[in-house]
Amino acid sequence: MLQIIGSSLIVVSTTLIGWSLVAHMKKRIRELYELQYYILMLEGEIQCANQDLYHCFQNISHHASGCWKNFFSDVLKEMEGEKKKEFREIWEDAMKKICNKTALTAEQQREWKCLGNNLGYLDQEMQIAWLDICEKKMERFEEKEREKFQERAKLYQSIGIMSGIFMVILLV
Amino acid sequence: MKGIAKAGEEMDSISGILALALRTRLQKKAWKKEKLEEIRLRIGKPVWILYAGKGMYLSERGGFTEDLQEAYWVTEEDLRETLSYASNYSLYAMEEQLRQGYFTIAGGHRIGVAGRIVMEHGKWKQIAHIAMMNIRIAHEVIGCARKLMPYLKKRQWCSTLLISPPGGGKTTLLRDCIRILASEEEKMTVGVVDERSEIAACKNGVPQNQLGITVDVLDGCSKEIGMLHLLRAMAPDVIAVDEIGTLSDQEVILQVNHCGCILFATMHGTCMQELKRKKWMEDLLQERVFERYVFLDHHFHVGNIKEIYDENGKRIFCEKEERMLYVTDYR
Repeated sequence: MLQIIGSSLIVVSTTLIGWSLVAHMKKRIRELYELQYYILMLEGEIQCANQDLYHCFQNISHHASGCWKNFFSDVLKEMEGEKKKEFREIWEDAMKKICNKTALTAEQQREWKCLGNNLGYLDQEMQIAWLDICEKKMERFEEKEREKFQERAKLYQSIGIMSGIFMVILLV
Repeated sequence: MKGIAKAGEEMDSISGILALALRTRLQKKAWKKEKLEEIRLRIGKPVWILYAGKGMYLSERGGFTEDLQEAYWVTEEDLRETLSYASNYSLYAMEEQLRQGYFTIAGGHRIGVAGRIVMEHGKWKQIAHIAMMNIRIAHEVIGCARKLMPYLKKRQWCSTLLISPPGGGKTTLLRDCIRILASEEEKMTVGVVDERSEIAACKNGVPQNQLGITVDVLDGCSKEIGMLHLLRAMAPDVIAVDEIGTLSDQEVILQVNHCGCILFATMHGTCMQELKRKKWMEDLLQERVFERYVFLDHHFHVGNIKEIYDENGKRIFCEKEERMLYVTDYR
């Protein structure tokens, strides 16, 4: 009896590991897609309404979800209070707070952080240009992640189940 | 302690926009907000402050000083930081205003800039390196137009032009005129074209300054477009604009006048003779668009009413003579 319970626990847990890896990949793709959406919103606010960053983020934060909602709220909090930090620092600090919660890779996070270095100064044209560059990068990241997902999702799931079964066979 | 900023007190809109190095020094000494007129920052030069009509430096140890040796000298970093804070980290959003050499921040304070300009086809494209800043502090002086109002009414309110040299208090006076016209007593519908956001100090289109209850504001809109839009869309009794001074302004003012709308405007100038010499004023004077010309100076205080003329160029008030030649019954 104990053997059956133990074996099924092993199989269930390895399957879950496989599934969670797939879920993490899905989350990363969703986040990359969301970031592109935020960039588009930001572009619209800057280009069409000539809004300052504070009002842009205020509007975006209403549409953001998960850890990115916290990210924009943190940026807003720092911007509306007594100003003591450069925008780059505000952006980086907010990024640090969510780095463990986001599914983005270190490279993807670096790219998003880089956007913060270029927001705010120079003219509208340059702002849009920077946002375009960042959007394209995020789009490429998303494409790569989707490819990866197609390649590996089923693999992770089956490896999860198979490794569990394999371990059970070995142990029993 | 109303109006006094002290160390540890809540940040006001002025010191809050300054770089930390300047802010901490400014906060070390108590100063009255209403007496602060200008703060000038120039890279590699001392911080110059106009306080209660007197020019002083910001001290290295905090507070104000007249001794250049004790003054704090502005660094490139200070200026960059101040620009970033003043524009709420969004200098790009001020691009259009910056083409005119300044931008207006919350509270209606005007920040003038100078530095290296990039020209394109003989026109100002953008300012590449801002090296100097002049922060002109706006003051709301509620009730400052009370003394003037009796001169601006016959059977109905007269179209009025407020004239003074720069920094003469004409915008402050215009703001108070608007407040009185749009008050509960007068209930005039006043349309304000606030091109530089100095009259109403709007935030998201909502006036932050007290402007009365029957006011519609077009914030950040050019005078030519704004006046016609107000006329068509908001049917105002009075239209108020700041700093007229071009031929295109003249054309629109004539149109507004023909529609029977009362006009309240300001412009730069010192005396009636100077006004008559201005080419773009010819038609306005000839058509008697304005029925009152109010000249201001700094003689006793900012916004001091020097003279008032009627539409025929007849002086109806002279501050020097201290007597009234013509009084209407203003209730």
